[in-house]
Amino acid sequence: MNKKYITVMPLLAAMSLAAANPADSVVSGLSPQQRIDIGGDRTFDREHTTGAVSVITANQLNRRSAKNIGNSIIGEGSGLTSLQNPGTYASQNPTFYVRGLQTLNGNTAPLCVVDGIERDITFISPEEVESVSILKDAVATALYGHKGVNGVVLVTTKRGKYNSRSITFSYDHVFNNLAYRPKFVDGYTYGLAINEARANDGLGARYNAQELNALKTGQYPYLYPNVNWVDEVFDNHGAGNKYNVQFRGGTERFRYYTMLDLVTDNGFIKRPNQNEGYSTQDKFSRGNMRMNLDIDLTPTTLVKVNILGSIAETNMPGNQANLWDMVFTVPSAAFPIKSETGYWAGSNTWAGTLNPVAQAEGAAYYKNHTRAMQTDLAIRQDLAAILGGLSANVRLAYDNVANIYEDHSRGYQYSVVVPSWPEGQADPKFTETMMGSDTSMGSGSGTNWYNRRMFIDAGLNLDRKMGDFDVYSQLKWNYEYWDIEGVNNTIYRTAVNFWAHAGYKSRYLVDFMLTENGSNRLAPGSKWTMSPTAGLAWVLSNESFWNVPGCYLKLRATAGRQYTDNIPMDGKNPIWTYYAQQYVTSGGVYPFNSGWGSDFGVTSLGRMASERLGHEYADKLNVGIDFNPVPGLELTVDAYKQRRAGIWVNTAGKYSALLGMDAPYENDGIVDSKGLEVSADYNKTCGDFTFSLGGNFSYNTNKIVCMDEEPRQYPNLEATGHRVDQIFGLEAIGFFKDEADIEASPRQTFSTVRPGDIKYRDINGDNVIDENDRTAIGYTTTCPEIYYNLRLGAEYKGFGIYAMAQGTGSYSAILNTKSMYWPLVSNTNISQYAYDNRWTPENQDALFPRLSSESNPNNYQTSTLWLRDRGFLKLRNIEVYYNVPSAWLRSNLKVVNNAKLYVRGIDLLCNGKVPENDPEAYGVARLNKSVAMGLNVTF
Amino acid sequence: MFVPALLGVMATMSSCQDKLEYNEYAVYDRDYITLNFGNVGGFMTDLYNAVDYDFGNYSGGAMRGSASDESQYSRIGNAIDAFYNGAWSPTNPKANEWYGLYKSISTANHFLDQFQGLKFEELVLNSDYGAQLHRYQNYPYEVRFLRAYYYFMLVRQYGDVPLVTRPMSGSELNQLKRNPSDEVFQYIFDECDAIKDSIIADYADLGSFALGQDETGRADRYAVLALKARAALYWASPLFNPSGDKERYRTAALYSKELIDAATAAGKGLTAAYQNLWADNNFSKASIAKEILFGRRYYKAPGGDNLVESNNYPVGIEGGRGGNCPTQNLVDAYDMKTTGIGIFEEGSGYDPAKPYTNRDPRLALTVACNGDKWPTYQTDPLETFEGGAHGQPLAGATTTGYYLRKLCNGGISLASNGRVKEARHTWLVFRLGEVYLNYAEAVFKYLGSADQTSAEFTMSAREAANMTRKRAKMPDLKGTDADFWERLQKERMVELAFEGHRFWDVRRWKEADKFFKNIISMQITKDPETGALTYTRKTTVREWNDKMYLFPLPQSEIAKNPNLTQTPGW
Repeated sequence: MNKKYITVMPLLAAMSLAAANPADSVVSGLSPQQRIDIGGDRTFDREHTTGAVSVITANQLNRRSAKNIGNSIIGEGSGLTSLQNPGTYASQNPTFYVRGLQTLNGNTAPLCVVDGIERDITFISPEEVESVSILKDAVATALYGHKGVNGVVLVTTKRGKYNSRSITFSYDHVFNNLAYRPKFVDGYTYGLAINEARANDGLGARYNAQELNALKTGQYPYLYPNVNWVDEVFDNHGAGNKYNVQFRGGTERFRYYTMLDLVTDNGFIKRPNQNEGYSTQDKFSRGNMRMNLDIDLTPTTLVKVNILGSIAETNMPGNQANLWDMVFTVPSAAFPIKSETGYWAGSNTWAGTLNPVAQAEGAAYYKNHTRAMQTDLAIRQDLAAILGGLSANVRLAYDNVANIYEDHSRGYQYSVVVPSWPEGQADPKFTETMMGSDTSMGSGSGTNWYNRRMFIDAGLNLDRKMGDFDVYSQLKWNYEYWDIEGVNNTIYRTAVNFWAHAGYKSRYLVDFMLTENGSNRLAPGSKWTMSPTAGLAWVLSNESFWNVPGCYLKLRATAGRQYTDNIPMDGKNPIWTYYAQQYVTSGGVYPFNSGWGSDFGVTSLGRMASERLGHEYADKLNVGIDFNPVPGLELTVDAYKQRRAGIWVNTAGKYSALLGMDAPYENDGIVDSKGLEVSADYNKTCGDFTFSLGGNFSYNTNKIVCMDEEPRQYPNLEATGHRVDQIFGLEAIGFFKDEADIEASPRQTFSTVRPGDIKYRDINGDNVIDENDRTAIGYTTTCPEIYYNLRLGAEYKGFGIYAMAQGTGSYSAILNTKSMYWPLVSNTNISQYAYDNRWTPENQDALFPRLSSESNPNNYQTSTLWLRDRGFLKLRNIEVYYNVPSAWLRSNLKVVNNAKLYVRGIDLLCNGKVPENDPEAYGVARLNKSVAMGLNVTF
Repeated sequence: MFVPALLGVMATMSSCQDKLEYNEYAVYDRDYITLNFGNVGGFMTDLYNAVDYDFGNYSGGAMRGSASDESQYSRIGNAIDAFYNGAWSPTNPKANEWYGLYKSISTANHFLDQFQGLKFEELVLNSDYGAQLHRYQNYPYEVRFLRAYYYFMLVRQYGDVPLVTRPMSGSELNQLKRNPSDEVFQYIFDECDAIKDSIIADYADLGSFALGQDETGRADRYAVLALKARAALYWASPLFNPSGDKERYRTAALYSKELIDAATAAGKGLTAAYQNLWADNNFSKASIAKEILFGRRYYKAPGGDNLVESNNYPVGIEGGRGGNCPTQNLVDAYDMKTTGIGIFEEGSGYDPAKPYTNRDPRLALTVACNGDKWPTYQTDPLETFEGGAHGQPLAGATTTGYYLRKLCNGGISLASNGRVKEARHTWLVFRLGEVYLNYAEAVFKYLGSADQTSAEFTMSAREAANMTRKRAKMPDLKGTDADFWERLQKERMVELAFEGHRFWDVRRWKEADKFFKNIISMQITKDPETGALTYTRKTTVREWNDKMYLFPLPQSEIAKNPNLTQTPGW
């Protein structure tokens, strides 16, 4: 299939002609002319808006050769916190936050919208995107009703242009490298470590002297092996390709934009082709086709059609084996790759199913197919014949996505060799047992998940100029049906919203929105909410008294209340029936009758009904300044406050046990957040030299005001008053030097402590160290409070450079990764780093405590010993490019209008404080650093 | 005003609005529960399962008796230790009952409020409708009995407790104060009086309302009367009767007499053999069941369970864990069989070298001593001496020299190849033997004499106390009015050992200083040459503070409801 595409695409590319813009390094999202879309049927110049919106423009959003738009905009934008997530290429997708963690229960995700409709943006390739807007304040998000309360990430795709045509072809080749390759100790060092750990625990040695020596010399590689599992399973390099062709243009009454996109990626598995006929590589390929049409059906009727089809295939080793988890588990000395008899190996402690090489090469493969369709059709009818400026819209969208698996996994037989070599005997003896069984490749297939969405909206718009007044008003109704497989997740929402916008001489601007939202998630009788929002802006520089030429100044303020349809959450499960007293029936028995049985089971009281059926809502206030003091320099500052109230919280902490059943949820939760966003762009052109500098800084913080927390005996345990997701842990104050030190210290109750174990501060002063000594430490591991980026661009005679670095601050990590930081316990491996930094009687100033062999609840608690600053500064993108001069192209190649060649570095450098790892991926899953080379040709 | 109104109108007119009522969940609400008799009956399962039993409820095997002078738990670090090692506190409040009982009280209140008076009209054509409805219509009385019993468990443990008798909202409950214990006892008496004549008296005799197998496990009229009688005795006891109001003993005696008369008239009485009380057929065999006024059936599987055996079989027997080992304090309470007097009394005939011969037969049925063949399938005698097959220093072996025998079904083998591994167990909540002792105590305390009778009380305290001794083939209680109280206490300790009484009896008498501080164990050593056994008494001292007569409330409960006051002293 890949081959076919590769040959088809250049063919398609070769059949083309026409003109387009040269790529450059200038970013201008803050300019007063930037079009701003907040979800109405009309866009406005930035100058004429009151809301807080930042825009990631076309020049910024495709610098990472990424598979989709989400990964492509990591680090970009103002007010968007995008955190990279590790994993295989197919699974990597970022987490977004707009203005931090604003609420409890984890309902923090912003709404992602593609062309006005809530959609999964992971299917969208960067090439098909015109811009990404981040809608932040009450005015900007009001029209999205219940869904927009956490902010909106709005993706706008490209459209055709009247009377033009262009064909753009691009190709990227991406070299992927592991950002950090974990280093685990060799077999001999593992032997020393486990012996030391067991001695520390008062247990006998695991390996005697001659066994240790065998681990060292490799004399008996099948009995005392030394396997570097990371090197045996994973190569250093992976590679990917991106092919893209776009047709864009139009005639007098018709505009089109069509794109074909193919992404392929090969993972890091070292020997994927050990089997005839198939590969066990981690592979990903995705083909996208988009068609956006604008048809002027009559002079007053416009029809828009948008269609995206996406087919993705993910291939992985059989049993969906988590190979990184295995190499983080199995030590070098655990077992050989294969036994002397030629079977995959395992041991009594680490089963052969944990053999990473066997899983990578001998378990066949598993495939996932994701098929997505995103379509919509809109008709806009101008009704100026009835009333000047009046128009009507109607739109229907239908999206569908399904994930299908094809399981070709197979099982394998493995050999367990148990050596024994008592001290003094000449040679080791061993027993060999066969376990597991060889099975043929599976043929199962089925649907993993699917969902579909229907969206309809219809509305009337009034857009006219009346003297010095510009007026825009819309009244719109929408209806959404979102059906996900399974129960308790089908959502119906409907809304009616009204938006009035008025400007006077482009000096004074007013926005007013009122939205009436209904949702089937909400309890009967509380299904509807009404949210009002208002915004004001004053463009001082348009006043007659303003006499600073080239200087632009605008003040903005917005405020509003926004309701959501969040419902109570029991962990990750929404409780749809929160409004009714619940009962539980089960099969328990009381043997009432003389035969020691009963005619019926148990009925018991379930959760108590919530009495006040309120709603979660946000009261938002935003003030901003847009200030361009001199041409080329653009500044924007926004400051906001938000009170999120009415958050559903479990009241178990509030009511006495006399309640006698699961406590109800109540709308008691309150979280206050506030923050600041600063953006600056500076662009300068001197002759052939263009220079651009910019940056964004955002600070978001919050405080839990109420969460119906149970009254705590000690104030250090209270989460109320702290930030959402605040880490709580113990305060480590060093290691116990010796038994006398243990004797002289407060008793630590997690487990029996020995010298080299972590000593904790008695926070509550009760002379006992236990759960009650936990206190707030660090920040959160979820979302940084500070997020910033810096941009630099320069271009000279077609040669250019673009670089973007992004950083985080007030962000914490807990080093709890097995083997890497928490070695050996629960039968895991040990990293060189953990080994080098362990406590020993000779190394009392170590970073980490003594080694433990089986478990050590005392040491492996969340504590300041494992706390690290997760803040980092990463060089996200650096691109060096050359735009071949158009004149040369036209004279030499005729049909080619533009050509750009580029080399990109993606996440190449990182300055962070998490040792041995990328701060964004200090767990088992890995991140990449990549270098991409590409060209982009426009005909 | 215009715009909001317009939006409202548009929203209501929208044809898709009914979709907002769409949901996919199964609502287990009242309508669902009232669909059939079984769903409603399920509440009874929940409520009966909340009645206490103690086959070893503390962290995997300790019985509450091990926090009294009945026994000592053989393994260190059990949660039961907190009762006497100073770890008991409002943050370690040992409050399972507080949480569990209020949960059940809430269920009972909810049931009475929401599920009474149903007609199940859709089922009216079923052939068993009449019998089902008859059973259902008895539920409210059973629920009220159980709720009163839960309050009895709460009041004996906490004294003053909030009295919640109807469903309340969380905020109402968060305001409640502790009602004085007198009010709680009065509530129990009133409830028992209100239901005693309405609740079914005999579930084996329902005539045309009979349903398959007789549901003899339900609480009947005698359970109600027994609750009232025992509660009255507690109410009269020093812990709950600080002014020493003697009339309360009269009430207690009257209630006990009411029960004895009614039970006797109905053909109930003491069963012939003491050990049958905890036999696996004690719930079904009429000659045993006639003594048991209410039993808590412990259900694990249709064939039964081995909970109490696995918790208490001797170490050294396959599957044995040691567990709750009877103390020397208990063993000393058994009188001599021939003389009928205590071992330390003059002329008792006690031989310290043969401490277990010629003793009250109930000793051998309750305590497994060195040399006994226990469990019954064992062929070799128990060796609880130091270094013996079942003695120290084996991990978990008895620390007192004895193992528990009562309650255990010695036919059960925990061995992997054992033949009988499970049997049914019914915990004795109320039995007639106890009622005689309650009566004896109340009458003695009221009339001040062991032998005096009155028009009201035609049976003397001594006569009543002799009922259980006669069954055990022991001579009548000896002594005078002056020492009768001590003898009665001893008889009660012996007869009711390990039935969950001692922990509470000593508390209500407020005599913990005397009984709970010194725990005596018997260290037995065997001369390796001669095989002669030496018996040495060893005393361990347990911590006692008078605040421990009543339990502390959990700290968090007081923090949530400022009107709840902590139990004095805590």
